[in-house]
Amino acid sequence: MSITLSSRRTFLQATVRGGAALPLLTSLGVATNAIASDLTETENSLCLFEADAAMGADMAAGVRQIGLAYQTVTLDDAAGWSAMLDTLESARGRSLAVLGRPATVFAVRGMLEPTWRVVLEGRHSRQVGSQMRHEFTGLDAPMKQLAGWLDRVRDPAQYAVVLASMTRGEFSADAERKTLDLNSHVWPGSDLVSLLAWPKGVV
Amino acid sequence: MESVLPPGIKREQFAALLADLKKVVGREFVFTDTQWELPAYNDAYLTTPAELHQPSAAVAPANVEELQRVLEVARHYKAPLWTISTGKNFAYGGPAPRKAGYIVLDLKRMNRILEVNEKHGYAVVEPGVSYMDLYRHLQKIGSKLWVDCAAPGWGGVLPNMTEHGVGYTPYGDHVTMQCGMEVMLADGTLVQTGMGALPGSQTNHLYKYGLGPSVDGLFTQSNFGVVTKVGMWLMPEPPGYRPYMITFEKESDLHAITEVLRPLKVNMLIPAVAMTVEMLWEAAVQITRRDYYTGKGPIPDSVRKKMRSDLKIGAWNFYGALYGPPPMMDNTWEVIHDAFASIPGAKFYFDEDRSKDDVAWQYRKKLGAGIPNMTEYNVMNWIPNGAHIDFSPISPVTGADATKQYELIRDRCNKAGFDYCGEFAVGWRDMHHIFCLTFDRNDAKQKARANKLFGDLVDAAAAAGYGEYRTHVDFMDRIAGTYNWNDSALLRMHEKVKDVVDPSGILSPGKMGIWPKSMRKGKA
Repeated sequence: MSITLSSRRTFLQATVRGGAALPLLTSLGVATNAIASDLTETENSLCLFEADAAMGADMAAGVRQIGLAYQTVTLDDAAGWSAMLDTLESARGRSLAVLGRPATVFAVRGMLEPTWRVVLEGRHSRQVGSQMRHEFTGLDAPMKQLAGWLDRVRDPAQYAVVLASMTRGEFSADAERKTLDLNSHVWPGSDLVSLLAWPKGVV
Repeated sequence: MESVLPPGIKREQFAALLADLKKVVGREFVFTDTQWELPAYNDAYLTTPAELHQPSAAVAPANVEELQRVLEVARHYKAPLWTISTGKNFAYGGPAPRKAGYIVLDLKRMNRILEVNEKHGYAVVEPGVSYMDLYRHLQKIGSKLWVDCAAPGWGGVLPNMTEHGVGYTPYGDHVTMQCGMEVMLADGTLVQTGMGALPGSQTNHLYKYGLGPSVDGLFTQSNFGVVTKVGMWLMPEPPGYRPYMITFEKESDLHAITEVLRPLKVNMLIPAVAMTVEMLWEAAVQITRRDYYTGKGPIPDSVRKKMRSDLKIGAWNFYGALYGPPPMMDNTWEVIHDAFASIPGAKFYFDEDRSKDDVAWQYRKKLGAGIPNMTEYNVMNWIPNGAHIDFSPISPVTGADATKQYELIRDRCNKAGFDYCGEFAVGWRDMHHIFCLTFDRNDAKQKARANKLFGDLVDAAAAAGYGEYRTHVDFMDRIAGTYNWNDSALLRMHEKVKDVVDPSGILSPGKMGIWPKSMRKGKA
């Protein structure tokens, strides 16, 4: 199915509000296949996630269930890095969610800008006393949407699915960047960084 | 992030300048948006305020014709350009310009691999070609030539060479392996160096020197021109490759390791750029500091011992490789093994002796065979919001010098509250001592301490007769100032050359301490 940019934007405007509710349901095992299948052909966003034991197969399954293309990103392998570059090169108007350890996401971001626009960066770090600190920088709208889910996600896998759904957002490029710091219960695994990005020209 | 103007240029002139640049490269490739585009040209690893290095714009020409016209525009407005290629020179400033307001001349669109010559073993590349790109291309065409890459494989083949970077195979001295260069001067003149100056030359990338003065070096770590193309010799795949690792138990073993190593290296029994790596570097690519220690200040010895035991690494870890037919490798190994076995506690490992999950071993094994990867970037996971600047003095290959440099840096960095994390890259007759000064980039006090420590190290090293081979944009003047023999005769000669080849002063003003006449009084 071929989608023009304008029809895609219209579609997004119509579905984004409902779309944000999908991922958690999916990650909690609620059958959303019927809804997700409606989105699959039209949305086709990208997700780059660093393989991590704490994320695991649940994340990949959840992300795929809501119709998003999922790819593992790694610093260790030339072929994997090249595949990622190919994917980004061919993205053409698709949105992107990235989640991984700080060094990995820094490297990915280094390949995105300035031709992509990173609308949101989240830094998720374990704190002393079983807390997780989330430091967001970016546009207000996705930040608020994402922040609303933090208390409800249990681990990076669920967060990844929520993050992936955010790529359905409709954001204005002229909005100012803001910052937001939040705490949640601690996630298993290492410190992480997340990104939401759109190709230049779409935002 | 507020917009800034190029030094000496008014807002109306800047608008006209940008309009002219857009006519040359198209609107899409002139970047001015301070929120969305220009942050890509910041250095995330600064120890100084980002405002000091904020560009006014960036322009990305696609070819030499566009580059020529960009330089014409810059000359017309006397606008300073800061040349980058892939922009991945992190730890030394990344893509950020020396001063605020410069226009970044971003060459990443000039990314063609122009030639791969299998018979003679070389490739000709433009500035935007990364090691990953070249490796992928060689794989695609079924080439039996190896890349020699920097540790982060996203770096550029050409710019790493012009920054005097090194790799990890026998072709690891990149400047030595460069042959044939095309340079655009500030006035737009395109120059072929060496044999390339002969029309129809058959040997442009085979013989380095041509006739008369060899000028290629003038365009490395310099601002005398824009290098648009180079030939790089590539190593043919050898009949055998056997990487090895030798671990040493004691911190004080550095002296003996270096003494054993020198004759092996000088006599070419160890042909590659060999590495003597301190334990924290090996730890930092695979674990985080707080996995083992959450206290402040340097990690205590007891914790370091636990790390060594868990990761099966030494206080020092030597990486080398054998290349050639198996019988030749066997003979060479006998000599190397016997030499290092004289150091009590030395342990020897080949690939089959290390775990598949040993991140440090796996990436170094790839580097020795010229397979690019990005694993070393994991060092930045060592501490939260990890960033680093590298202090890189050159050392003679002697135990006394290695130990002296190590102690000079370790003691000062521990006193400043940082861990020593470093390695020695052993070349033909020297060692590049790389101290990876890691800090929390969100901690202003820590950044200030790192900045002060770096400056102290420059002075202490210079006082001991050691100079740095490369440096961060913030320290270019300071380090250039230490190369001051005979009333800074070398720097004054550089300035004379600069005045002649770039009288408008548009190319990378301040690069390695070389300022155009118009900016000499105002240098930061």
